Amino acid sequence: MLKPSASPHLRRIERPFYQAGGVLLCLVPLTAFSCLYYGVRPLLLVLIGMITAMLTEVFCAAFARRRPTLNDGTSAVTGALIGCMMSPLTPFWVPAMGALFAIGVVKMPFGGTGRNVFNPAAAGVAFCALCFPTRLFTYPDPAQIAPLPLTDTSSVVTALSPAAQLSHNATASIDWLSLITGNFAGPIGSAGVIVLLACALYLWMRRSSSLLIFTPYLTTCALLAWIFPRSPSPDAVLTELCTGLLLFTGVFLLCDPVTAPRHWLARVCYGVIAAVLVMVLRHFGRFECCEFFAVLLVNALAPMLDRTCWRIADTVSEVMNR
Amino acid sequence: MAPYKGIHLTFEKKPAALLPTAQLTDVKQVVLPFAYPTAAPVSPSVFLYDTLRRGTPLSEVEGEPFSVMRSSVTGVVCGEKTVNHPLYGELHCAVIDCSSDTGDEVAVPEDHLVTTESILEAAEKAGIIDELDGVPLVLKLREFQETRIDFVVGDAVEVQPYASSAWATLRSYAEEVLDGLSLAAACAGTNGYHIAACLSPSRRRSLSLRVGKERFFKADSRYPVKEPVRRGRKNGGVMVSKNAVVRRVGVQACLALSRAVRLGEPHTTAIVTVAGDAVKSPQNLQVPFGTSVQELLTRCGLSCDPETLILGDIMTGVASLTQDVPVLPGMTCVLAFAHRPTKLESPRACIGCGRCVRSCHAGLLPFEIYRRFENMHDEQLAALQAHRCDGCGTCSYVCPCNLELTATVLEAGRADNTILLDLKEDTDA
Repeated sequence: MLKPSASPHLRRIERPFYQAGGVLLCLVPLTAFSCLYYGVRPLLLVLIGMITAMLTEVFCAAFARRRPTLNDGTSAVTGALIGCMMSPLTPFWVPAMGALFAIGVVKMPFGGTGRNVFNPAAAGVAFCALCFPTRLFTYPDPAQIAPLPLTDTSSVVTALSPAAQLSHNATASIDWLSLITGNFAGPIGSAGVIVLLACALYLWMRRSSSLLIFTPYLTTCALLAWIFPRSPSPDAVLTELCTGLLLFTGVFLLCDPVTAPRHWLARVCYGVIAAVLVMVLRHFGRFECCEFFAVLLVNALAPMLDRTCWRIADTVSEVMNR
Repeated sequence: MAPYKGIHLTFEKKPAALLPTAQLTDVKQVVLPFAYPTAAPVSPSVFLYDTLRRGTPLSEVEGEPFSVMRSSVTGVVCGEKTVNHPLYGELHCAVIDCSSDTGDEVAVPEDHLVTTESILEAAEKAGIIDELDGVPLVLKLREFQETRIDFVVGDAVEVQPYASSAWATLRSYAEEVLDGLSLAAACAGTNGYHIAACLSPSRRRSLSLRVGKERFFKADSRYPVKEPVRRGRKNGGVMVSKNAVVRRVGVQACLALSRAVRLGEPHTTAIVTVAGDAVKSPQNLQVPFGTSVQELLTRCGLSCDPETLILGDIMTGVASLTQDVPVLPGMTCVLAFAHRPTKLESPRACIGCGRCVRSCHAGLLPFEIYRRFENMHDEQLAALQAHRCDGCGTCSYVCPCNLELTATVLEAGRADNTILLDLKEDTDA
């Protein structure tokens, strides 16, 4: 019995978990790197973010009488990213609140995976930064080689992060080796520049992220940091690039396929605009880590960038073919 | 402007591509339309129980002599029927019983000087249809005459997974194909005629020996084929500039043109690849037009009852719900599969990976067209130029969310603003 079928009859099959699986895999060494300095606390923060995000999706799906799509792993990624953007000292309920906001307000009301306009993880952390800034931006000193306590963290020695030092126009007293190895006060995901770059390479090889966003973003950031340095130190550019969530944002938030543009030219513009916004917010913003705000702003431009850049590229192509 | 990446498909051409082309001569019956699909009035010129010779015109088409179908066999008209062809739509056909085939009596033209006019006349008289696009060859040759053309390329670039009919044609008739190509180039007034193919090094060497190294262009193996030549660089020792005007002709049409001009033969056969996992012995068959697909499958043998029958190759072919379909010009591949070639899960929402944009050789935004079409944003849809889609299927192939992008973009291209117009008409009424 012959059955109808639409062309193309051949498809490249990809499991729903493939894209998110790659990101989750990248977050494992990143969290492990942080655990080396701070004990098991960073891991718990990430896990709490993940579990809350997944539970929120189940609840929202039940509310909307739909089947939850946990198998695509996007909720887990959102929760894990929120956890990674927290300070290791953040109370456990803060990533839970961020994940709740990200899934319950930014993702599910728009229709779930693939339909959200803004990056849920960036929105979740932005929500936490606005509501609980002191809890988010207080970092333990990595020089104290002792695991952080799970409950009472009042006795932990804290340190000013290089990003905070830069925002106060002070010379960041940190050598380049510590910057590269992540041996400085900062969020969980910012530790380990080498790991972050390896993650970027891995995600690009899996085709989960685009170098057309990451490279212009990083280049523009470096260029702006060189033109408008915030510190007189000779390592100002390197410090600017390696501290805060600048690299983490470039690897994980900006390259989120749902909210990023699809056209190659739009991606380049997207990366450049994001970098400009990040540097403007770093110079004039209130918070030391403000990359997620820049992501939310540039997310709103993505559809417009896609259409405009496609039109420009198409017109140029036509003119060249004449 | 956008970097063209295309996709690489896995070739499944073996074993059909390795076997010699088999002739299907013992066909009992053929079903042929009186004319190719046309808007012009068609009046049949053969009737029930008429005895026909191979090449006899079946009808007269007012103003379009190239749309006339010719009998592909010698036989007797034993009936008429309407066939709903998956590729050509509804066709009014003559059923010709060729059991009384007594051989061909072809009038070989006298040896005289071949001129452009005589080539055009022969192409029209032989009823040659280009298998690449289904366009009568005579129309193409006339267009060649009117345009300044630098290269005429015999397109044997079969980068779809199963089809190997062009390879088979080249292997069996390379010299005749090159001759036909030279005739087409003569119409275009150029000496730049070449065969483009994507072959293994050993086959390439063997073909180069037969047709001459300078007459062979090595083509790119990426799907879809944007052009059979690589511009701005040397192809087989011949420089093809970026502004060169290149025209393509199918190799089977070249073969038919050579035979029409040199031997006075009508275009009555097609070389068809029969393959798929339900076919016991995949091979290339040379069959008269009008032969039923069922006969092709019977000849190659079926290992099981197929669930999917595809006319054309796997990327762009059309699924047929019946095996009782005649082979017509333009059909070069028949695939039979025990099940669907790819088992699809239900579609998910677009995750924005952008692969559809990267793979689209027409430079469109398939995901955006899909979104606008689904949400009925007709005004924005018009600006996205969906009509430029040629249905190559790469966007659907690469989509990780199993979206029917190709079908939607094609539909959007056809609908282009009509929904708004319809609403207006309704309001006026």
